[in-house]
Amino acid sequence: MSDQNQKQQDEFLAKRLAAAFASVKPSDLLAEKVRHSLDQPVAIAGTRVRRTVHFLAAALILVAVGAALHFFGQTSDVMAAQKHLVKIHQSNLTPQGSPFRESDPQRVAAQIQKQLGCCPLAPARDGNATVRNNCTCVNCTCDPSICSYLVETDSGPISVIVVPDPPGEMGMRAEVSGLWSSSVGSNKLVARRIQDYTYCAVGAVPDNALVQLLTLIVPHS
Amino acid sequence: MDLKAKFTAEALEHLDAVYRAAVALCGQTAQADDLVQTTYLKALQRFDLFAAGLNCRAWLLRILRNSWIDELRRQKTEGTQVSIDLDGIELAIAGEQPGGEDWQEQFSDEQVIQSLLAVPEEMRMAVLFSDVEQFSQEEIAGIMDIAVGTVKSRVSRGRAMLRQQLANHAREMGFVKE
Repeated sequence: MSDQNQKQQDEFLAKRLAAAFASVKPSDLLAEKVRHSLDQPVAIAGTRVRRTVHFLAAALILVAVGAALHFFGQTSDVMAAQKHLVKIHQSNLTPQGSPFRESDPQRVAAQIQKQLGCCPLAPARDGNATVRNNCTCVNCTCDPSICSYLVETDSGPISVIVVPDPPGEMGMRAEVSGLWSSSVGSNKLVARRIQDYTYCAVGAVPDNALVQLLTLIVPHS
Repeated sequence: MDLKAKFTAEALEHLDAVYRAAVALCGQTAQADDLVQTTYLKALQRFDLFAAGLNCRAWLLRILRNSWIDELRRQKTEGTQVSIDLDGIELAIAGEQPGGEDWQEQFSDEQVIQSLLAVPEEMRMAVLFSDVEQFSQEEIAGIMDIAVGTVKSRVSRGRAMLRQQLANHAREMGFVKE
């Protein structure tokens, strides 16, 4: 069969399949149940009882996971990597010397290069979201494999830490849109891979603030 | 509009897509309804991950698929389900397929869906995400947690198996000659 014929057959099959599924709709009852469940404040804020149950469940899971790791003799390298990132963030929060503050992304990038000797991508200026990097303070250390800088956002300070290791190897969980996530204590970590490096946003802020900041870091064309 | 309200509004827009995927996983059953509800509850618990730039539909479908895998694991523990990794199994197509496409129009929507349900799950879902939901191969790779090359292979083999299922039915029903 020629490629052209194969393509035509594939397209025809796809159309037939899409037409068949066009009639597949959730019942009104299911739609109502889903709508109702999304309206529940309990799932977001949690009642005291439910939170307690969640904490107990989480504690039990942690104990079980800890026991399993111990049992199988696995080292906690992946956790160590995440903890190291959080440690870098915490050291960024205690500046030594006066921080550099700049709103122009290009100047921020130049300052990072001057200060760190490496050249990570800086967040682009944000047009309309809540993350504003008009108060970016670069305040960081750089070892041969890690660059980091701190960004002050409306949600709180966030460190952007650039490492060569893929997020999966650091034990982070894959989300959609090429994002990875994890948490260590009160700090959350969200990462994405850009140009052979992992850009990891770390901070004690909501996940969406980390995601928004990472979306402002765009690779050079 | 706060983030939760924005999430709720957008998530509900994708209810049809989530339900279609649930039906493709377990047929039009009460289990599909349960799976949809579980998906939305899990998404709600983690809605703070929802933010600008995230593809909400893909995210919901990823949660749906992971919830289904959890369910299968639970059933397997109970000894009622055996799942087989079909990636390594060569596709064996029995018999020639009829020429042209007119014969495919003879089927009802239900028969087409039932034929898709006969395709192994990993290929079935790749075909659904590609041909019905119109996701890119990269997006499907993200939803199914597989490499893009694997997506191509699964979509291709899934379509071939679906076509063969339909061809077999067409012969049984006399839509085409032997």
